[in-house]
Amino acid sequence: MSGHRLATGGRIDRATTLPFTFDRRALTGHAGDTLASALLANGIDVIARSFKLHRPRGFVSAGIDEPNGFVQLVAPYGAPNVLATTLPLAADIAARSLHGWPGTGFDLGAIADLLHPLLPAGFYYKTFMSPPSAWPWYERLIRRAAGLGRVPAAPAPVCTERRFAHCDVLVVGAGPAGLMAALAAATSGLRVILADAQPTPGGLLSDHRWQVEGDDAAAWAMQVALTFDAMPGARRLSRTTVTGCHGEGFFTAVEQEELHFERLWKIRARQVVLAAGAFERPMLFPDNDQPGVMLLSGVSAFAHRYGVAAGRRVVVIACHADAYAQACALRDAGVHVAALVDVRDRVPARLVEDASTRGIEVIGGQTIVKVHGDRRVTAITVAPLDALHAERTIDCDTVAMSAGWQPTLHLHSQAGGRMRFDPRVHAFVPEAPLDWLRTAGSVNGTASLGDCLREGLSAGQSAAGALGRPIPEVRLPHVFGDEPLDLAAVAELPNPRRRRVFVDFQHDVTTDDLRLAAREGYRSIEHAKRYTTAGMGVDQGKSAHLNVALVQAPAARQSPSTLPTLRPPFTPMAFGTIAAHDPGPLVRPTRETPMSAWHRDHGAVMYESGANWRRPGYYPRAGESMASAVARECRAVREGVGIYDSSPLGKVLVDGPDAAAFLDRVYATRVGNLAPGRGRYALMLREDGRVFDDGVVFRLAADRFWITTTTGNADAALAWLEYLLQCVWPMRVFLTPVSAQWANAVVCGPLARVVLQAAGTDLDLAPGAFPFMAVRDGTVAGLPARVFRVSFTGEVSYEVNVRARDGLALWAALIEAGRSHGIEPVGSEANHVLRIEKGYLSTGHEVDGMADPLDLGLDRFITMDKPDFIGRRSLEVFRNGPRRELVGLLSTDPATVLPEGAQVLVDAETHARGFVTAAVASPALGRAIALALLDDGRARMGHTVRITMPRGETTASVVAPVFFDPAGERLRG
Amino acid sequence: MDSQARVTITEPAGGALVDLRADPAAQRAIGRRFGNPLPDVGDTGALATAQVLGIGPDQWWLRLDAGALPALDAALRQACAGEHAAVTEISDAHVTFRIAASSRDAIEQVLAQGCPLDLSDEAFPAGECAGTVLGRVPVVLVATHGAIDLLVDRTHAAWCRAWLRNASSID
Repeated sequence: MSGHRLATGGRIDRATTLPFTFDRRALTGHAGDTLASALLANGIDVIARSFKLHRPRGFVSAGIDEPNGFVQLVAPYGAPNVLATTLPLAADIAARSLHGWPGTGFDLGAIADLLHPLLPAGFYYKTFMSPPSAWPWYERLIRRAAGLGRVPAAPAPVCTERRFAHCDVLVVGAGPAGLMAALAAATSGLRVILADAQPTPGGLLSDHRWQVEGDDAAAWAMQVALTFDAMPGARRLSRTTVTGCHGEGFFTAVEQEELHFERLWKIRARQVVLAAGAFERPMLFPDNDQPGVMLLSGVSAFAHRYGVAAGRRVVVIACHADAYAQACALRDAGVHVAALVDVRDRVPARLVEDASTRGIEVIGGQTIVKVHGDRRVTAITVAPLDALHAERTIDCDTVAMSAGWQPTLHLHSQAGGRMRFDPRVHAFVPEAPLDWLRTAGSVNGTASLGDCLREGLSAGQSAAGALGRPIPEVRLPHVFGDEPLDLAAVAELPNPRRRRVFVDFQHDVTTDDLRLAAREGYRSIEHAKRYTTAGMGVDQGKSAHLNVALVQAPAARQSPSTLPTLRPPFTPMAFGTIAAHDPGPLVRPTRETPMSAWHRDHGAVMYESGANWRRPGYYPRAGESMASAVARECRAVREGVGIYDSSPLGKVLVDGPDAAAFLDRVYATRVGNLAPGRGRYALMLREDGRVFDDGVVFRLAADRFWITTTTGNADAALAWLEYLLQCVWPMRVFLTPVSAQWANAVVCGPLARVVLQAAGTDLDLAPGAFPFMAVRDGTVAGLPARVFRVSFTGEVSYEVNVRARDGLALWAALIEAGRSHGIEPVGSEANHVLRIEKGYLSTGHEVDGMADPLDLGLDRFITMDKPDFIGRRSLEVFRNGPRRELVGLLSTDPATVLPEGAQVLVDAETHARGFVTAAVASPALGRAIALALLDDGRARMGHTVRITMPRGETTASVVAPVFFDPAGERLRG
Repeated sequence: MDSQARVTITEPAGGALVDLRADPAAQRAIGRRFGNPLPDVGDTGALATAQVLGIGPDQWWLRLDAGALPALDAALRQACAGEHAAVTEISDAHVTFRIAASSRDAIEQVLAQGCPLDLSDEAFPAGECAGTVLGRVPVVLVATHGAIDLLVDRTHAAWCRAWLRNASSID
């Protein structure tokens, strides 16, 4: 119970008390708190258990670099791995800690900590390698031990919006540098987006005692932000984290307005100013993971932003001058700072005096050699760096450490910028700005406030200049209280008692782990990172990266050259943030025909059938099973008349003097010799000779063709043909997709002609006048129509195409005309049965991307004596096989419908020789039938083969792949 | 945001749409016949009573009243006689949504939830058109004073209608 609320201070609303619960404890906080500040204010020390060793852990930071403070949100909705330091407190939030079972207080997994000598870096790889068969068991064990969050079962009631935005200049970060850059760019009349993760502008200004323009720095920041807001073209996004750069000028950002609303921004910017600041580096002294050991910036932020003291007695340990200012500011805010341990041996007297007058004892040239305490710091032992035996113990409950800062290079790096190690700031800085992305402020390693302001202004001006604007005149504000930083480059501090020094708090990676990895040969920081898992936690190593580089490089006898790759997203993003902005049925852009409503109104079971179409599967009557509905629809087509909606079929008009020559190149079937008004079934092959698509080609006029593609391939086929015309052959051909212009109804069955006649048509339907594979323009039911005699069912069939606006009227008229003839609407299930009975092919079944036309027995549709066509050469090369050929299968038990995809085995062999492509119960044949692709299938006609079943095997005999009307007499009638 | 409250979404009916493809010689012939050239990609122009959208380097869409279609169709075919061109009516292939508001910002706030283009007045002024996507479907946008017309494949119209309704109800 060390953390507590200060009597005054912080940007919280003390008048508003918010109840919340953590690990089932009822607590309260204030509006303006984060969950973390409210927990600290309530004296909660142990927030989590670490990932591997289950050591107790407290907050280290107050921001997004926090490695330990991930919680499971329980109410108002469930969400795993929520960062308590960035979660705004709201009334009735409930959260619980991760990684602790039964709880963070007493955690059985902590036995791992006692065993830590047995759990070195890479122990997963060393321990769980063998036997391989035990991996599933290991995996369950590791998953349980690892904990992490639980994915809630219920959907999160978060309204997620997506927003595209465009700007001339994107400024990332609204600290001093970002504010100046945004002000400069907006002054020149540009469209500027200023994005910042915090609710209020100013960055770290409010955590310090700087003065700008004679005013409190935080007040100055707010004034600049309001000036910016009032400028035309300015847009300020607060509580918005820019999460990634995904290509030149394209950024994603997440705006979290409140717990129930968030917005994913996709921003395109012409120029970018990156003023994202820097993360403080934890200090590498022994026992530095003890709850109560925090970053100085975290202790400051909790005090100044939220009015929370992280502890009752704080000792600061640092290696630079800024720590004095911060320690003094903390004391002024009411936090009891007992001492300041400065590892530098030369300390300016004025700074010491500043601290001493506030009762802060300055201990120069010393370091921490031991942190006392079990689940909270109780004291530290310090010793002079040049006399480590001269120990002295200081009582305290909090250690605030500051070892310098690592610039936040993520976006710079993702944009293609390089980094270099700068010994002066003892961190990695941008090697050089990009011509469209400039860095300003502490992201450059700049510490002085005056310099940050100057760099921001300059970057904003340069961005305006790069966009052809005159350089905007903006006055640089005066700064008071700027001190030289005088940072001492201290990587690791002495560790005389050989205690553990943690580099990655979340993943329990120590300096020894990194040295072990180096000894075992992991010289690249990328390899060392993966081997030790340093920086691979949910926090993505924001607080760990620099220390990893500083320890790993010398261990591998190198000098620090780079941080591990800084990948997007910068902060964890929920899948919902990325994908939930099109809620419910909007998630998928389903497509409809003009008759879709009729199908639904008439009881059709609709389902997905490729290319986002929802089509009627079958039309069950009241109490009718699917099987009997499908059988009834099949019988109607074979014995009377059926009608189906074929509108989704891909339809393309091919125009131009070269149309015939073009089509003869893209189809393996000869089509250029068609007479106007006639058509042909045709195959489109890929270059490798496999079937790509099939359809019909009709010649409407000498230089105009109508071609159809399969529904699922409609877009791909059109794109392929356009590609050929635009990039391969400069032929005089235009393609016009007309799939949506036309709706069509297919009337099929022995009574099809009668029904069409009854609906009223000016076409002569006599077989001689309108034969199979002909097209005629006329009227049907008084509507202008284009009628094709094609058949996918094996019966006499008229595909009546009308303008989409007339589709429903046509359908209704045909149903009405067919009523006295028993017409039945037919769904895709019955169509599937009818086409299998005829052995017609279906893309995705027999046309599986591997089969060529010879495999499928389509030799007669290949015209080898044409000059050339796509796929021809491959057909010639592979003419002699080997072949997996299309066959029919009749199961030995006529009632057994073979499973689609089942393996086909021959003789006593144990490996598959083929598979079932489609199988149905055929009403026309009164038995189960199937199609299959089978090695050398045509040579196996009459043989019996074995078929794998969900349980065991069954047998079937190999037959020709046409079960009904093999001569095709019915469809020509 | 109150500017969004003023966004109205209507579906103007009764218009006709013609797809025109023409090679350079046919383009010149059309220019001679109608007295003005066809617009570049992304621009709009006029042919007789039709608004012409530059869809591709050799592709235009002509928007006109259905009643004027037969005359324009005949005039186009006459102009292109003997040239390499294709004139295809596609009135039924697309549905038009008109998103209107007193300010372009308000329109942009609806469409920017699914359209990656810069739809500000400066970047997409009245008189321009663009092929783009809305959510997951391809659309053509036409900027006019006070509105953006959105042309979408008819098969996607129901989805698009629901999407626009949802997008214009947020905030």
